[in-house]
Amino acid sequence: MGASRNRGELEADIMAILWASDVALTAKEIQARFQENIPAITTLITVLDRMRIKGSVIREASGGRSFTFLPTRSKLDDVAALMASALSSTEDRSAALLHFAGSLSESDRAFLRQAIEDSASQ
Amino acid sequence: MMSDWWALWLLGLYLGITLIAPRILARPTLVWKHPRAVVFWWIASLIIALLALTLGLGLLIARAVSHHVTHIHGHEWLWPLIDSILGWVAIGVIGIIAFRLGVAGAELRAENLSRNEQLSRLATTASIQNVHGHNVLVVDSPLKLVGVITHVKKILVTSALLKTLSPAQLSAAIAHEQAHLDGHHAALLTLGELAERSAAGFSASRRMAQALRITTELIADDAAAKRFDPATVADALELSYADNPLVAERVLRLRARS
Repeated sequence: MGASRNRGELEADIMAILWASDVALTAKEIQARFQENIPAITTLITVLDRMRIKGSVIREASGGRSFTFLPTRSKLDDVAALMASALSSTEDRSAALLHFAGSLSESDRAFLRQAIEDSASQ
Repeated sequence: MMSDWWALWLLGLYLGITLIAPRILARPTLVWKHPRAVVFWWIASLIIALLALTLGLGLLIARAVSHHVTHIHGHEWLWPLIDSILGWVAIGVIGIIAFRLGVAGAELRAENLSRNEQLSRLATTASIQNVHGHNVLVVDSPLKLVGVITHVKKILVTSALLKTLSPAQLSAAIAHEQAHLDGHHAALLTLGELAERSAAGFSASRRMAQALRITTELIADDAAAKRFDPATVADALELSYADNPLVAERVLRLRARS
């Protein structure tokens, strides 16, 4: 049995497959392009539908009963959007930055400025 | 009997620590000069205070139960009554603390899950590169960023920052992030956030959270400065956050040492 994916990893894998393709793909074609840990077709359809609602992919009728899927943005645009999203996923942007980028908030800076003043006066 | 006063001694110890620790450990010059010691003493104070509070409340409840069962007879009703009231108050306090901890923990967990999901997706778009002996995740982005994805224990750096920093500066930036990973700083920050959220309005928890935020950054700066010239770390910090004024004081601290 393959290792289970983290949440979000299946979406990332689907996006990678769509970016690598020149044409729109059906869910079955996407499934066929997985090298390992192949997801069930029902899982894929559910995730693709969720991605369509989130605006990551668009769905087009391909004739008959199947649909094809296309990414809505390039890989570079997607990374930029993800970074912006990951860095501001909490209400307090500075708190998110603390976790990721390690910068301090304004009140923390005021504390450090006080330390500088106290050190200088000693 | 001495043992009768243990609950009060323990609750007094808890109160003493919550009143005294912020006055001593939140002094800016102490944090500025000895960040590692400040972290140690905050954590030690927290553990001792929590143990004292739990044991003190537990003893109050035990006394109430003991008197309720064996001592309510004759004219000796006052102390059993007081013990019963204190016992109920202790149960109430424990309940409130447990509730607030549970709510704060659930909030933090939900936020972390959401952020981790996005960072996991970001990580899958990155390539693993060996940068001066470190395996780091490199994301193709015009943003200049370096940071830690704690739940996968990886350092992430953007392609724009790779191009901006010199090899020495990049190594210094990575050493800073590695210090965060090695020191389990994410866990310390989570502890501070949990304390701040579950005991909102308490000066001690707010000051501890702030001290942990600041000291973890200063400790990571110091760890990088130990391996490299402090000026190199300061340069790396400035270039990494060129359009972000929030690192100015840390840069000043490093420059003062070089």
